Amino acid sequence: MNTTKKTREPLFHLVKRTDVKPWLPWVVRGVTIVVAFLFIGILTFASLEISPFEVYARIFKGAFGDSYRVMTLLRDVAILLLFALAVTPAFKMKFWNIGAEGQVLMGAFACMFCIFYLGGKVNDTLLIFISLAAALLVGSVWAVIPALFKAKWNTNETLFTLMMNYVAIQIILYAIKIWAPGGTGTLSPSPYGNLPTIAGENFWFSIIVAIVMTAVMFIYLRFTKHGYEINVVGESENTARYIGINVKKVIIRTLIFSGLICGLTGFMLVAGIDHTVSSTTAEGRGFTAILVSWLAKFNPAGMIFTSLLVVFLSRGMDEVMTMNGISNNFFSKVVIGIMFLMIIGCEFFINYKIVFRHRAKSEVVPPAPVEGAEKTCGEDTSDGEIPQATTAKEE
Amino acid sequence: MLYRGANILILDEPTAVLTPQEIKTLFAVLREMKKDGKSIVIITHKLNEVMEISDRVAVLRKGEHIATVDTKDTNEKELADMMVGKKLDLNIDRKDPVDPQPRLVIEHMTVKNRDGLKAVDDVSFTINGGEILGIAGIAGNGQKELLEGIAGLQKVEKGDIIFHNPKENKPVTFFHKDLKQIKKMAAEGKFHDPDGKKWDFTGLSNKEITRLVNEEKVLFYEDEIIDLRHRTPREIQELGIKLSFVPEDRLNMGLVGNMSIVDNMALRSYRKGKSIFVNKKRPKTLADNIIRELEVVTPSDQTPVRRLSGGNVQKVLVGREISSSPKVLMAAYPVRGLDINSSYLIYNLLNQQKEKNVAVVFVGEDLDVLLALSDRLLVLSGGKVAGIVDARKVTKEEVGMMMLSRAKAEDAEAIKQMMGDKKEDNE
Amino acid sequence: MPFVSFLSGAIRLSATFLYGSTGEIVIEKSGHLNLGIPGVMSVGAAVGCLTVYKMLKAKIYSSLLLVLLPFLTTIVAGGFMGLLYSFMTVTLRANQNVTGLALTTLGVGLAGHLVNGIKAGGDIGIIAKASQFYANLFSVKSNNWFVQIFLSHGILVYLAIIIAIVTQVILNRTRIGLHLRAVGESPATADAAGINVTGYKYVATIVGSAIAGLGGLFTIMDYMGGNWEYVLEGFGWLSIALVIFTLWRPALAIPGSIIFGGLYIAAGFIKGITFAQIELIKMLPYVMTIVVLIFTSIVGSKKAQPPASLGLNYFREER
Repeated sequence: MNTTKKTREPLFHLVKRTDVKPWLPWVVRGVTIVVAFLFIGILTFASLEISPFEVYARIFKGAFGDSYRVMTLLRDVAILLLFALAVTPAFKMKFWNIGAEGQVLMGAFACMFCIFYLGGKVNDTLLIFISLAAALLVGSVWAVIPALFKAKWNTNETLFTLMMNYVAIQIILYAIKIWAPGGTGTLSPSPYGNLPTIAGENFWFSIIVAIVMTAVMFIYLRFTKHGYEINVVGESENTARYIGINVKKVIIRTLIFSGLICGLTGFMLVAGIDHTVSSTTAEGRGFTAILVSWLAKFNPAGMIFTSLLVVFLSRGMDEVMTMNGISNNFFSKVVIGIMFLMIIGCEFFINYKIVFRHRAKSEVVPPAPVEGAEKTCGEDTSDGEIPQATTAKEE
Repeated sequence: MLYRGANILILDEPTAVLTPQEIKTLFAVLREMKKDGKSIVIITHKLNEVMEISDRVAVLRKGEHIATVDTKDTNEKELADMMVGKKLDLNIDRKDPVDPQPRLVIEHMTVKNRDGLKAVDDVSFTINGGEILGIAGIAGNGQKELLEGIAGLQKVEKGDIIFHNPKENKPVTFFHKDLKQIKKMAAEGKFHDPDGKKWDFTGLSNKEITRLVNEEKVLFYEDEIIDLRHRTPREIQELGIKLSFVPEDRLNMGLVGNMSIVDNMALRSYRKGKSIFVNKKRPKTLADNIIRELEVVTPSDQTPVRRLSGGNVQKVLVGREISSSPKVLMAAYPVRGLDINSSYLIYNLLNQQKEKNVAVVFVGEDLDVLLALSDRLLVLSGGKVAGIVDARKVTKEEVGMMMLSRAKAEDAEAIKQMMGDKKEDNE
Repeated sequence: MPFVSFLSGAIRLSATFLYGSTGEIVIEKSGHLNLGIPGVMSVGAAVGCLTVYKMLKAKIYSSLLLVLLPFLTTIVAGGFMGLLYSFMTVTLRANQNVTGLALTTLGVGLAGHLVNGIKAGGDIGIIAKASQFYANLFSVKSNNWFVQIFLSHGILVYLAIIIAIVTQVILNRTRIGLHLRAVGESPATADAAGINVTGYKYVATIVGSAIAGLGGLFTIMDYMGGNWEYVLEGFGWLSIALVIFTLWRPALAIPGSIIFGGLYIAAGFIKGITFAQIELIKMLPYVMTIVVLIFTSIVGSKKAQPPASLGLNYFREER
């Protein structure tokens, strides 16, 4: 009995790209962002019945409408950038610190603590330095605790840092209830210990600090010995040990550095902008910052753009919402979430290409002498079909 | 597999972990299956086995099919040429060691693996400078733990690893030693002056001593003897002991796959210098030299090493380890998975190191290569030393017996049986 | 007695965590860490509430339907979020942590947006009317303490326990469960043995997300009495913590979630603490989780370990 079998290549299969021209990733990402914007426009139109053009116009207006908006936009970019810088060294080391939210909050808390108890009692400039020192200290302690446990007992850092966030929130809620006994749950801004304003506005400080820290982080990661070790530990811990790098020491050192930046950010938020602290001081930026940093491939220079993108989108969308009578930021979150997902997903197209089947092949199998022969081994090949053991499974 | 009644059997490098005797048994079984009408596909790079067992041979190169020939119509050399695509010289040039002196003396070393069992059990042997010591054994008999224990990557439970740093009559320097250490060693009588008298340093000021050292007037009496047993890799480096190790796992241990060739070159040297910045110039020069001299195929020296083919990855790794002018070079399965060209290049590199008086340790799985390349051969079985023999005189079968020496009694009986058969065949 | 209402309240709230953690356990057993669970629970809740709202507006008042239909839509919504996650991480091979976080952002935003759509419509309060069905179907009311603690809950509470037990059985006693665990421990080996790794990952994620979504529906319609509060994000993170707490075993999640529920509501039951100290008590579930985390990593026994390939994407070509 003749068994005829068709062996066909699958419709398409994925091939990992081996020669990636340097412009390819950026083109793909750029295209993705444009597509995402189009999609957002359509989505906004579909759910809220606002014309896409109006949406785009409003986004730009919300972000760049007048010079005040531009400056506050830049200030928000600066703060988000600081968050992102703080999480970057740990992430480069594949240490999943999702506790930046809590670490910044604790820095802010420490700063407010000093302001609350020492405000008016010490020289104000001195107070600024004291609260900065406190913020840096507490921020780095909050960050290094999970690191110590990871180094010693390999405790899962993702969940540890996550839980520390909520502990930090509760500490602040407790403190506010003590400091603002009225029961309103909000602490009024303090006139003490504030960073001086430049030209009467509070955004310059943040912007300057952010630019400086970006440069510092860039140099630290790319050119210093510490940065090199972070790179090696993150890429291949085995190799780090083989070379003699003390991985535990590197983890702890890096998290201390991360915590210092978080403390600094907390200080900037309290002493520079809000002059008070609350459980929402960080506003979830600790999580967004992870995405901002990841999207920029942990490159501090790139993070300027990714944080700009995020802030631009969210302020723009907030404007769109406000103009249409909606006063919350949920839709912005949807938009940002979609944008993130698309950019995350487009990495796939950078790393792989899809190869379509170009011709269907079929072979006639001669009657098998033994029952149950499942497929040809393809040994007598004259048309270049490659005998592969795994072909059958490749659907 | 056979219990499930397979009619088609595909074997991928089946002999990698077998002794010569076991290979014989396997082939006998395969011939029986052939008689039963089964179809068998064996994937192997060992040309002698291809010639011995197969009826037809299909040669693949770089994912393309080159040719299928009947085995009786071809020979090893032709096959090798088809595998590589050009004519090859398949000779390993083995020179006799010149005045081998002990370089590394392992005494009663015991290493436990993760489950707490002894992976290396009371092993003692000596590695001499200027010779290649091959280590044979079925994979998983302690080779990995042995090398990693010596390199400081694994905890050594018991035993000593004594390193003889060849320093006799060489000048003392301030690399890896400070003034305090030098004075201490002088008090122990380790130095002499060019005329042979012991240096005492009594009555000499620090400045005087420093001057004498810098003018190379203080010489070592004999080789420095250092016990490596409790040292971490970093401490070994800081002691000035040039121990290089080419691990089995290239992209996940020896190198960082995602980093460029240049950055990988910096792995051993990045800490040098007092600046907080990493010096990339020297690694770049090193990388370019290696690319040129070892003919590494790569778009540039900035290419991430994981994009290179296996042979080129190994060239980069071995090149780096050799570049630090080691006194001891250990290589674990350095040609596994490599094409023939690169394999022979690695053998040549090892021979060159041998001629430079480096103590070379070569752990391999291909007995033919081990017997052709090594001067002495150490056989590991069950974590113990089954024998240390002269590689020029021992036979494959004797080595096979030693590899199995810790096997269970029944297997030993079966092997004796087979040895009996083989003698009859050979006559 | 306060103790009775404490225990009863703890059990009631425990269902939230039970749904969330059982769902996440299923997903993690397949080797994927889904940090999008808070978003999944939010979306599940929002879609369910939306269904209730539309039904009430359409004047459908049958108690059975008011529970059943939203139940179905919630499952679909949760499953869809799971589909999105697995498409990103299995097919597009995206990084799991980042995808999960993006999904949480999207989910929380989407849920809030949908609910606002209802709020804008005017009378979201009517959902509260339906909540009594959730709380009262199959429940027994009496003054007896045993009944109050164990039998007076809404159907979704009992369903959570049933789902947890069924999941435990499937995971540990059936071939499907064995295959799933193999996929999570060593996808390469499972693949070589002929198990459809991709299929298992997709199905596990979709099913696990559907279960988690139910947790959202329960929280709002039963526990919250039909009032929408933005608590689901926090509950979602706690559910993920519970997975560790219970060592990836759904059966342990039952007592575990009761403990978490108890800790969460403990503040309201302790007499004589100040208004401020309540905040410190609220820290307890998080602190407990940290303690468990540290403890299990020190003890490090083999049984208490996560699935070996958790967080790593499987690429067949790179085997």
